[in-house]
Amino acid sequence: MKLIEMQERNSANITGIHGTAEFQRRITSVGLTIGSEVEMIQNDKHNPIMMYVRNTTLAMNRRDGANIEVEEIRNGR
Amino acid sequence: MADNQYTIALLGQPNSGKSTLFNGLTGSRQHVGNWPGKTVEKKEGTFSYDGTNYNIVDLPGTYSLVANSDEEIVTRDYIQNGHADMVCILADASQLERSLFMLSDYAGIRVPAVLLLNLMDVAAEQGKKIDCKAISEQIGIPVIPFIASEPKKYEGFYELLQRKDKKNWIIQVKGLEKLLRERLGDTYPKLMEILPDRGVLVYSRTWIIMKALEQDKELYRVLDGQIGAGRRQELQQICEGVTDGSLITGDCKYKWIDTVLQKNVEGGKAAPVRGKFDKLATSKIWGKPFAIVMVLLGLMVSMIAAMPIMGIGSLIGGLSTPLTSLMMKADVAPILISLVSDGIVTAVSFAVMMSGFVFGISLVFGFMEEVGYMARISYVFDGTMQKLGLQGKAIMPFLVSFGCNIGGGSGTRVLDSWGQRMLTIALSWVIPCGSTWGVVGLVSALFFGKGAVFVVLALFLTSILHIYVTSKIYGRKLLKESDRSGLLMELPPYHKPKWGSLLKYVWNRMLDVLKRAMGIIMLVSIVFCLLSFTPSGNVEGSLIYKIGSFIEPVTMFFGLRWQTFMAWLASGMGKEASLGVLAALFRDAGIWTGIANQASVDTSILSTALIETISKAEALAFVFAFYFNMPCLMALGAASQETHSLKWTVRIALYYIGTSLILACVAYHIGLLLF
Repeated sequence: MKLIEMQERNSANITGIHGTAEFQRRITSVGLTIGSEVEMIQNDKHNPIMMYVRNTTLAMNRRDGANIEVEEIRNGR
Repeated sequence: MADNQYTIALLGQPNSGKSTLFNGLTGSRQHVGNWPGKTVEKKEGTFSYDGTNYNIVDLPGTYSLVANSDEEIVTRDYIQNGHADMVCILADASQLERSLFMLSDYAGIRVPAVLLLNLMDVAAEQGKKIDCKAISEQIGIPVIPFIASEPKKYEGFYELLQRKDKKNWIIQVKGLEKLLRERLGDTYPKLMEILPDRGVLVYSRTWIIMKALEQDKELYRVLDGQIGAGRRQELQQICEGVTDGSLITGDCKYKWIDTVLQKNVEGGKAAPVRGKFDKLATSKIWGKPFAIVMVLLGLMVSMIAAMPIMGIGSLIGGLSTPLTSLMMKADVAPILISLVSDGIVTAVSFAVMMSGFVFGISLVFGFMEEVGYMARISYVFDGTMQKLGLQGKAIMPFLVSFGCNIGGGSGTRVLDSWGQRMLTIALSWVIPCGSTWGVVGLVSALFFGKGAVFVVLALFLTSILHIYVTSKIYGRKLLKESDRSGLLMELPPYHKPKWGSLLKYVWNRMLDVLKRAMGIIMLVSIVFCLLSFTPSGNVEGSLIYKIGSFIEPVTMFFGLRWQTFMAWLASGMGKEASLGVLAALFRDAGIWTGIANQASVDTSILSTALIETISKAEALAFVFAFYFNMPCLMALGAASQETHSLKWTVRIALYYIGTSLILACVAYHIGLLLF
């Protein structure tokens, strides 16, 4: 599934980051890589997604979030 | 370089505390300028410790060392050219995993480096125990725990400077290299063979391979000059054959960070906790209204904070009368008296008052940034700003502009790229500041009574159209494809403000603005002053009158009489100045006295004079011309300071001047039909 399709409070592993080398570099530099664990904190349709990854809360615009593939590993907390 | 001069460069991601450390080390011995040929701010400073002078350079905050944006190219070039004797890499101890990325990206560059772990106090609050010594042994460079906002506790850092083995502080990359070799298999030795054993310039082979896999175009350019285009092409070809190269290197770097942290950091792996405040601040429904209330409150508080300095400013303005009488007694030439008391004194007073405002705004919004709330405002407004081709971080300048466009310009500092900063400024100038509303309110109430509501409504709708059209015109020119990337930022944990370093920042900022503004305002004051000077004090003898009445046939095309035209022109000095000019021109007093006495304009006399001379259609034309004119000169100054591009600032100012006349013309002709 895509990152932006995740339910709030669920956790997932990143399985794919699709896009140009520039996009991949940008995403990597804030801590997202293949295999890293993401917890979705807030996912409103009209706001950027808010997630917790590598000890950091990140806000990411939805367009970028649609290019990231994840696999859910846990429901809720 | 002299023997007793040592240059230190600060490197770190945004929010790592770089600027705080820079201010803490240099105090006021700093110099802000431009990187040659770039619109990127260059901050340099000096400090001395134990008889040695140190130069310190604050490199632009970037997330990595890939050379893509201007900021990144500046950073890379600086390190590559060996300008720094030592690089201080800053990381946030409260978010080690992610913030050590810069260290891993630097690993393989053979310029001596140290790692400074900032925010150790916050890390301790999280219950984190970090064994700096063990980390240091593993990565081969000193690791210093510290708190950037407490300059009194920099001993660890100073002790480091005295050590003699600084040249040996090169990051140990064996571990990283091993991870990379495992991932790449046969490809790795092939790549190594292409490159000279000892790497290129300051870069080791491993580092070059990683950047080549990340398809760093700037690196290819450097390699062309060093190893020849043929070998570069060979390298590039292999690297481009590796799918998702950036993901592979990124993965290796974080894995390496994990091995560094694994044994040496205990605890602090807390799950994210969200308080009630955060839920409200980022709420789908309440986030925006809450942000607007907070910003309005912020504007009010900043006004209060600005008051003492503004008071000093107006006191200086008050010097003009005693100075005049003193000089008259001494028989000084009238033109000199006018120049000194009307021109220079007023200019100084304006500049001081303005810096007071900058003080207030920087303090309040610096506070919001410091405690972590600012990022939440950007979060809730991201969708709105995207419609203009901008991203959430651009909201602050817009909101602040309702108070003052100067503050709005300064607020663009948080934006990622130059293009975004410039476009945000270009668009936020449509937003009417407090003074604009004051004058518009007065004039439209005077001429249109209850109809003023419709005038304001028309202005409002035209503003939206203006912003939309302007974003279309300049969006494409200012934003490169890479600048169009959407919001991607850290929402920092909330923490208590560090008053000391905040005040220091605000103070430096204010002095900076004061210095720059003084020059610009002085120049314009003197020009205006000379133009409106008459020995008798009667405006009809002045140059400005002659010019004004000469060009009136032209300005009437836009619906502006020569007096309202001059008032429109003066609104570039300061929006309130228009009122003073109107008063002066309609009462035949000196124009500059009008500007200076803006606070005490007798509006009732002005009202009668205005209504007698000006038709409703002309008044409408003036309101539009005034409202959409460029913001005051100080806002222009702030813009050129923030964007480091005088060329673009002037270009956009001219655009505003032009559009305001066109809009006035349209309003005038519609007005002629209506009234």
